[in-house]
Amino acid sequence: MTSDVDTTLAEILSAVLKRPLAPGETVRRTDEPTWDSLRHLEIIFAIEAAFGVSFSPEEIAAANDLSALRSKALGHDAA
Amino acid sequence: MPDEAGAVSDPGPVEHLAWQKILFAQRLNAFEILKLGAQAPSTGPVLRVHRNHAFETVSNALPAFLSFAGITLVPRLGDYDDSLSFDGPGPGVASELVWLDFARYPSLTDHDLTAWLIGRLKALRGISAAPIIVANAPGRSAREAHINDALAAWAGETADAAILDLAALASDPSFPFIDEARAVVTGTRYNAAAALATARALAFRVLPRFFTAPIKAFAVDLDNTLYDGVLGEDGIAGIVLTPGHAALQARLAEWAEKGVLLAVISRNEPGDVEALFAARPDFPLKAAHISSWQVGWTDKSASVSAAAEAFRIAPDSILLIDDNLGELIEAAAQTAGLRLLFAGDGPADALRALENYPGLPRDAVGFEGRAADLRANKVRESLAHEASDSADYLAALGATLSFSLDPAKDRTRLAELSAKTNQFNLALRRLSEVEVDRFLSEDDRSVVHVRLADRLSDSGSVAALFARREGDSAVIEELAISCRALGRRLEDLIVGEALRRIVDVLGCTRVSFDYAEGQRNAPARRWLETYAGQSLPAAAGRIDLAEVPRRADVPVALAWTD
Repeated sequence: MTSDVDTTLAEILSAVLKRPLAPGETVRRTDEPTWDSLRHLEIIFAIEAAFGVSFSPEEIAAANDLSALRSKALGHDAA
Repeated sequence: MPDEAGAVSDPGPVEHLAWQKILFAQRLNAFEILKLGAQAPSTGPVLRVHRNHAFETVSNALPAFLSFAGITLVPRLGDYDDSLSFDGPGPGVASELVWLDFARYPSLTDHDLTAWLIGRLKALRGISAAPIIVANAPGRSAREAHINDALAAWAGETADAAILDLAALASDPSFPFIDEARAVVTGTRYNAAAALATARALAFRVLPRFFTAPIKAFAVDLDNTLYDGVLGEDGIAGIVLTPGHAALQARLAEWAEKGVLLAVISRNEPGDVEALFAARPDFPLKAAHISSWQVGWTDKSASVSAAAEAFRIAPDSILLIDDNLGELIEAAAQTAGLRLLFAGDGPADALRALENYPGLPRDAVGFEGRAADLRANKVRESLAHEASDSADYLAALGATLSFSLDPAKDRTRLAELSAKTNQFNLALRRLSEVEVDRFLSEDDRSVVHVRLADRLSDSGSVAALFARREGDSAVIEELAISCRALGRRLEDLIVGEALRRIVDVLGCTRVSFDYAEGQRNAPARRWLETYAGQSLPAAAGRIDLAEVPRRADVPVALAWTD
């Protein structure tokens, strides 16, 4: 289950950030030059569509790394 | 997907078949669209967005839809500007999009808001000849209805103007269009699902009017496409018309009645198919809706070509609808530009794809009567065969040509004739509605619009001649005659009568024709050589007539309606 989640998240981040992701890689918005506000929304919307979850405005603002996104995708509070 | 050099190749029609289920889905999915990997081109014609709230949520999804529609446009987003202070024509702008959240004008009355808005749109028209698209208000309040009525009226009277109908999208009960809570982080009150639906509507329903050739005909498979079952195996009694198939057939019948031509393309015995349509009165699609029967055991590509020839249209004006992926791929491989619709996921999916398919002539005005014209062509051919000479043939035809000079109300159709005729289009100028407006309104220009009817059918609008005065010469900058009028030996008469009026109204004593060589306009260029009595000296240029043609003495009724 979590493996599927990780695979899908990697697929989303890789497609939006336009670079391959290594397994287990830590991905943070502050380290990614292409992760701007526009790409951030693209990631959020794709995760919502892929996992059937919904981010609150506060969660959108706070979900700035793979760990927070993964937590939300698994149905936990994101931040 | 990127190749080894990192370049992104544009998917072709076969790859797009795999996209169909995602892009025509009832509920669009951002993740599925993202996985398609569509990339916005880095350069190309510009879609300039004038806005007061975020458009990025829409533009993120646009590349996949634009790619499917075969449209290359690069969105260029302006700064947020409630005042719509446009900053000039702008280089490379192919289309303007006005993207406003009207809730940002609470202090203006309904009347003041619409008066200001229409004024700004007129100002934009004044500085830009590109098509202008305006997103309307996504709701049904009295204020939104007031705004949308004003926008619809403006679009109706403005050249190359269209509405992106957010009100229609917002009527979909499956998602809320507005998401006030997240506006603070997304920059727009329109929610994520609304953004996807907007991207699809813009790319599939609005932009194709300006940027793609229209679909003029459907080529439709039978077995497991228009009904459940295989005629050759199940027999007529075993064919099941499910509610979904009935709905699909009914929609195709509606399009046929609006003038889109229908060909049946089926690998079956012709006698079996004829018996099927005769024996199934429950089919909404009747034999009378079908203008070409291509039934037999040839490849689908050959059948499509035969239908195109019967319809006198290019195969790239045809949408092939089939449940068999292999046959769609075969037809696409052999037929450049053929549009494809995969019906193998069931009639409901096929119908939804048909409703949204880019390039359907939703707003076109020149399609009525095409099927009747095709049926009449067979009778005309027999009349031509029986007639002793041309005058005898024209007398038997009982043709009436109606001419009108500078008919402003026909602007859209005049632009269509210039933009969409291929075989008989002399200069290939592809005039926009804005350019047509100049011929309609300026003193040194004029345009003649021609309609045709004979005793067999009313072909409607068939020709346009655009002229400009240059010294004492009337230069025919564009001459376009619909293929519906060809083959009736009327070209000389249409042009000659139009020219007589043109030289009179422009005060000219001589006539010149501009011409250009295109892939398909050899018939027009051959006609000009005969009409002018001289060879065309170059691929493109201008030639002069020795004299203004006199009115021909032929048995055809001529009338001016202006």
